[in-house]
Amino acid sequence: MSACLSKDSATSANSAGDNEANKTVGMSNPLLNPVVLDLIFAQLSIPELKQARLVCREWSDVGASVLGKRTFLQANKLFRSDGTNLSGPAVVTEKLVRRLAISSETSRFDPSVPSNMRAKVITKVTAEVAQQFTQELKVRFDQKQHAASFINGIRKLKTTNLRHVYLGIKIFNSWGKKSPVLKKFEVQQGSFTPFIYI
Amino acid sequence: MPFVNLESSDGDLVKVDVDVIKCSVTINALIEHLGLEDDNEVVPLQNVGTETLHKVLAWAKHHKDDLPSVDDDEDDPPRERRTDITTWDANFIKMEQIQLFDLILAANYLDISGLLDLGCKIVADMIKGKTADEIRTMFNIVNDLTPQEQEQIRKENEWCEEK
Repeated sequence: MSACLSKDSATSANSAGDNEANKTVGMSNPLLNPVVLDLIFAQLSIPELKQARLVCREWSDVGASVLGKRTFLQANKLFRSDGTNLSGPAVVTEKLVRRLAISSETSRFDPSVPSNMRAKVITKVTAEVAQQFTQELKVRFDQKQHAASFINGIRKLKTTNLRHVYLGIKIFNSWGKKSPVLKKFEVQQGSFTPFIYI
Repeated sequence: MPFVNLESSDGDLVKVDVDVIKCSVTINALIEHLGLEDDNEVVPLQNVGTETLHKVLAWAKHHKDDLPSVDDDEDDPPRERRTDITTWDANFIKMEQIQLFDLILAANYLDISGLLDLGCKIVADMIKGKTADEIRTMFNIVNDLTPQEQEQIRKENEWCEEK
């Protein structure tokens, strides 16, 4: 365990016994104790949680677990382009890949990625970022091509612990207003069709 | 009414009504294991000093008859507060930082969730709206992150959104 705090408590190691030694470090400082930090961080807003992650290593780790459960990692942004090739995915702590967002929206891509490479990014995100730690995918497309890229990515996925996939497709943009697909999705919220697979 | 003798880390004995300390999962388990029928039985608490033990007991006594999250305070509960800390608790928890930390440690060790929640809410209130630098200064925390690690955390934070 890292010596993150310099404060010494009166309840430091005594003759309690060697089996208590590990516990004692965390026990002498509540702000180093993951159980306590978890309860404290549960009270913070997302921006406050992000600030807290910058305090020290222990806070960064516990903060990542809490953040990973409350937010979605904008996975598209882990890929960059030099104009011809894609690089990525950028390294992210495994605690933050628990929930991923994948989207067609321009603002959800790194600005270096040109529009003709976005479909490829979606395949790579699905196949390379959504791995064993990922439990939820939130997917939103407004282009038919991106839906196909996503399916390609899913095919390349070797192992998965996915529990939920939220899939939203903008039918009008993707298939056109006269598409027969629309008839199959007559019951929908707005122009999105959410599915949940369990 | 059965009693139990708690021994603080300072070696002081405090006789406590079992009904008062039943909020502590740790002590409840100890009592069950030891089968304390004898009023002279002593439970040593190596991690809780006398001063902190008295604070824990004051809190436990006040909350002894609590049903889960029922407010038995005489004053009107400050409902507008998101964290719904009662007036009694708010006054109780006014203490120096080092005492607050000891109290949180004791609540964690004794497994008293109501008291642990209260302490953590107070610490969270202290953190709210502060920068990482201000938080480190306030709690005397050493920054053990390299500049590269901080840059990585900043990037990760930017990539995380609620939707």
